[in-house]
Amino acid sequence: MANYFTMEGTESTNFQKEISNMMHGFGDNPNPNAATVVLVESIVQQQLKFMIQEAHQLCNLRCGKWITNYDIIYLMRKNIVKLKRLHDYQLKLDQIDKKCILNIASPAESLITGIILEDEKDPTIKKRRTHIDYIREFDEADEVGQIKFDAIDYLRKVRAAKITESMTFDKYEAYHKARCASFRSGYGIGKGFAKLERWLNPMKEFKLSQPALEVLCFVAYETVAEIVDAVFLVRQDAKKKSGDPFSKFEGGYFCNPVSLHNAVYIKSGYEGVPAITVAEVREVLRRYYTPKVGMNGLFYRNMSLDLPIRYIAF
Amino acid sequence: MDKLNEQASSESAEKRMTPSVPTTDWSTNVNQEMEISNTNSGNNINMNQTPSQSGSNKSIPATPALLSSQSFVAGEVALTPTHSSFTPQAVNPHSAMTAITPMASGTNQARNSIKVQNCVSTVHLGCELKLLDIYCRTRFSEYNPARFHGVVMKIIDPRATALVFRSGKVLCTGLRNEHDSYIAARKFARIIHKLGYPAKFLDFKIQNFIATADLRFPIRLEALQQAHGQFASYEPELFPGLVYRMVRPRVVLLIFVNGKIVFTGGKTRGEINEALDIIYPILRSYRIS
Repeated sequence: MANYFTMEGTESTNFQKEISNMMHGFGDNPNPNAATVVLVESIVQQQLKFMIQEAHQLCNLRCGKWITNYDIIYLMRKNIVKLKRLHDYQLKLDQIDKKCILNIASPAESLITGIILEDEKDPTIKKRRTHIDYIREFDEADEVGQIKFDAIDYLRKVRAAKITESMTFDKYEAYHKARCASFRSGYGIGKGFAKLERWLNPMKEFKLSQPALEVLCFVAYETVAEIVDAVFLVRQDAKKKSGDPFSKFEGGYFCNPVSLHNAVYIKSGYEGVPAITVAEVREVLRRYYTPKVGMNGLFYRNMSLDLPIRYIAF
Repeated sequence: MDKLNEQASSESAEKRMTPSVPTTDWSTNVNQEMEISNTNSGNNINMNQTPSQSGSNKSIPATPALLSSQSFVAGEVALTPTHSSFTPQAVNPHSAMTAITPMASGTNQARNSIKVQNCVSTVHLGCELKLLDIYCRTRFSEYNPARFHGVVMKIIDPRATALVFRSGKVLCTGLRNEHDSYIAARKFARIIHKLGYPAKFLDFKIQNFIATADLRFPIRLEALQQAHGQFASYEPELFPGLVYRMVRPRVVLLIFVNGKIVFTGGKTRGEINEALDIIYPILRSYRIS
């Protein structure tokens, strides 16, 4: 199984530990199935590699030397919800940088900028992130601005809150550590993407700029999250009894917003969550890639007969 | 006996008031005041029974000036044995006191754990500065215009770092309290003055206190984030703590799972105290049992 999915044999860098932590953080069993982790890792890697290739073509088209965040955000342009999430992501990162690097919080910011105004440069942010600028550029109708509520984020947070409701401290601590996992190399100021780049681009055949890696990091995290979310949906479907009008309220898998309103019925069971199996992840992928309507649907004539490439993250 | 106490306390209360740098009281003295009244009444009874004490009582009228300037009696001041006018007494006054152990409430514990880690202040020197000149003529200074448009100066006592800007503004950081910050700012101003600039010392202001506190109980951050969504933001994959933006007082709190809190953005110690008083009951309800 693992050999089939891991792409070019053995690579020294892998994100298995991080991904297993992330899955735990999203609501999987504390000890996710190892085979599932390998599968998810290979999915994420494959997706990102496809993405980089496509971005590389775009980059060539506009005669750029480096693949920048512009190219990757361009790939995301169709999914407004995810653009909005990226938009918020930049805001959060900027805030955190401001706080952690100079240890100066936002109320004092006015003063600092006041002092530094004459120097025309804000030292708090070394290099400005440009994701939001690009998002605005692609989003001509200002659809991203219209979205006021991030439902995905909300659901994930509700789920996390439900999971932690009845945890003891030891378990909560482990859970918190798991939630801190990301595709970045480490905490602190020098959060680097060295490992991510080694993982995606070991031979350095593509030139990836730092902002591009930041977006890729976001996308990778989002992919894992989407897979786990979808697995919970699949489980919920599997539980559904045909003809029972109340089956949707049974919940138990923290995902259905309808069932979340009836908080009484939600088991905040955490121990009881069985580890996500390989079969479930495959089912999720099948659902993602089964053409239903639209471009890849039944009545769509695929001229070049190429496989549809869709990204799980957007 | 009663008067003696008053005298001693008023004297030491005066001593208290001498420092010029304003410091706010970290604790309210309600409990301890009650304690004083208790001990006083106890002493009075004791005095009636033992007439030998009256001799010591007579010495008091010798200093009437101090008695007239009677002010607020701070509790722990009256109880300290180290005040200057200690008169020998026949009976050990401690034996007459009823011991009241102060309630170690959680809020007080948390309050006592507040520790100012850094204090940022600004001052305006009121004259244009030539940064390169300052950099060349001072020790322990850095100036790299490509990286940062200001001279970074350091002094050893008190250990402080200052950012000096062309406009004459100085930002002084790295101190543990407001008094040291003031002294350091004055020293920086003096150094620049000695270099031949007409430096003044205008509108010194404490801009930011960075303090830490420890609540000693773990907190369920997810639940807190759910309930206080408009103030709190918690993104563990980006930053392990929860960022709580309090509106009044305008302080930002970084709350961590293990119950440690970092306060930033407070302009006074009072604001930080107030913020802790507000947040404590909230966090208390989200503790992990």
